[in-house]
Amino acid sequence: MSNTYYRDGKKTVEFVPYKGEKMDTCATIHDEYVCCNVKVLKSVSNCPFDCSYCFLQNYLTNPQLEVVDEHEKLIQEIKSKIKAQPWRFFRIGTWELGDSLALENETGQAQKFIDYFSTVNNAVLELKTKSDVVDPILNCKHNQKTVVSWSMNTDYIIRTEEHKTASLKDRMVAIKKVVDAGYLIGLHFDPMIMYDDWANDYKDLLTQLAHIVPSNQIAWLSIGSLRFNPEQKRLIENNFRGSKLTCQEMVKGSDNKVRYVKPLRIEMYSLMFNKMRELWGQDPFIYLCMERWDMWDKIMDIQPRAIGELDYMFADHFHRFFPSVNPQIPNLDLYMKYQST
Amino acid sequence: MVSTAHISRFNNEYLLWNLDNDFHSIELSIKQNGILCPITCIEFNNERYIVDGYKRYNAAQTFGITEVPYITISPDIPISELVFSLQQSRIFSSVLLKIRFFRIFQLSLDSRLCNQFQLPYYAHLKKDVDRIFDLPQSAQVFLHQKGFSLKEIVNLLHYSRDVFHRLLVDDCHFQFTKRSFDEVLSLTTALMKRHSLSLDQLIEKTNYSAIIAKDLTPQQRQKQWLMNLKQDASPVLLATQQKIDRMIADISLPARIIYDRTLEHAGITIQSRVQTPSDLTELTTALCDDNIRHQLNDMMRLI
Repeated sequence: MSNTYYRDGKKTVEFVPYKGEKMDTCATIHDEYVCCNVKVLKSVSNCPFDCSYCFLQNYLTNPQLEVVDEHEKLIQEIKSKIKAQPWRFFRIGTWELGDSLALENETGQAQKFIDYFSTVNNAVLELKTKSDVVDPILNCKHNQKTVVSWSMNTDYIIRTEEHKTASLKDRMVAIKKVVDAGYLIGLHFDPMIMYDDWANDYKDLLTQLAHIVPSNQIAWLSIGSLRFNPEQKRLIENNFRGSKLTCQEMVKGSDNKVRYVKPLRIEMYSLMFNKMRELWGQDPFIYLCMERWDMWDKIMDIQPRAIGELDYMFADHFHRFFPSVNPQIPNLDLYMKYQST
Repeated sequence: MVSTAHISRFNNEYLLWNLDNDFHSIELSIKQNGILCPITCIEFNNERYIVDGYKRYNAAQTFGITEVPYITISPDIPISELVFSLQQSRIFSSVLLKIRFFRIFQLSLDSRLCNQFQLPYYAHLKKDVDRIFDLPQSAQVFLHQKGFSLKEIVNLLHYSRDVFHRLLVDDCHFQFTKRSFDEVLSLTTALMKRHSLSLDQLIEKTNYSAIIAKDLTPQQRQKQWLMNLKQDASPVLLATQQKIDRMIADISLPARIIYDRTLEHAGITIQSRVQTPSDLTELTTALCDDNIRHQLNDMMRLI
């Protein structure tokens, strides 16, 4: 274990050389939960923000905030991997171990990736952030091959749990700028967190977003709820003494993480799903993050049973709604056959 | 050479890290024969400091033995090293003793020392050690006697201080194990936070005083209070379970219906032992009954 306190590591950025493979499948993948099979590029490690629920508190063995500065080598790795499976429509995010845009003013990394992805046929880049750092990417030539995503939460949760991140107001301004720049937008309502007025606040949040994000620029909307493993629970309680996150009614799942009990999750997800459909219509792709197939069935009346199936659903959606981004017709058999790759 | 001196002529400050005041194992022998084995001391500045014989010294004080046999040693090593050499196995028996030993001898917590004392070395270790040392003596004795590890103690410190101390005081009624102490503390703290309750309000809500007053064994008390706390902690889950259980009771199926009580795994298991053809007919007929199928469907929607 490193003897650097995890918050100390966030204070300065260290540029590090490319070492080992950086592209992988999202770390939360688990057999019993429907995972979207998004690929992640670990080009940044740790994050300047300090969200109380962040899994990095427990996940990182080296808390130093690091950015891989040899972007050509990162791009080379992506190139070789997407070339090896030309039938697949890749979604590749740079947010696995940090924030995709928070350090853009210092690193310029996202701009280089946007530039590269604008030229590829079978992949989109996902830049996911809780920041408002968007000015450096507004003039990039993106060809809609980059999805700029926000991890969104209510004003109350941002103020009480998402420390040092951009305020809701600032995120909204940033989203509007990115919408105006023609990018596709992803909105992740994950983790949803219960508190006294959660239902009204989440509905208000969606209503505000619907005013600035048009349906035809939505790449995807995701819904998930607070979850953490027992070790992380201890860390949250130690690092964020005032937080009420860990004292709610939760149960442990097969992935050793506790979640709100199922009836509460159904209530939360149903509210979000129905409001999203009311505001944006039937077209946007909505998915649940790390839930079992029966939750999909209960909330959305669809039953993806495997990772490959959900991966295919993304590709199919893009082919139908954004054919210039994914011009090829996806083949379900291939997605199922190679779902674990 | 063995000498004797009046008990008031000894200083035990180098052994004050010790929390074991229990000298029952030598009580009988000392009462009958006095102190046979001399305590070990070092001498300087006209003071006689005990470095080995803490139990014997305490027993002598308790039983009014005034003349205590002792030997003096004078090795050429620092006092902390001498005490460590003589008391190593005792110091290593509990993390509390290690921490108290550090503090009594004002040792600086670095990676070398942690390695020597088999403790993890991390950035805020010093802060954690200070918090543990600042606990009242009664809390330290409790944690020492129950054998909590450093990690477990640090975890306990995240919980409500009020509850922690209340449970210590009331341990005689419950005789908590490490696990049950942690569970109760965790649940109590969570409920106080969730409902913004004071400890007194929570105690009243969970019938604590009545449980203590009842003629029960400590284990029965533990079980009852834990059950009350859990009921308060999981209202939605318990209500759903009760609803499903009632539905199951209403279904006249010649089989046992089982479901995952956390509700996480969807579906049900229908278990039946089919011994004769008529058992099979009875089961299949029941499963084909529209009414039963509706009942099963309704129930499955809740899981």
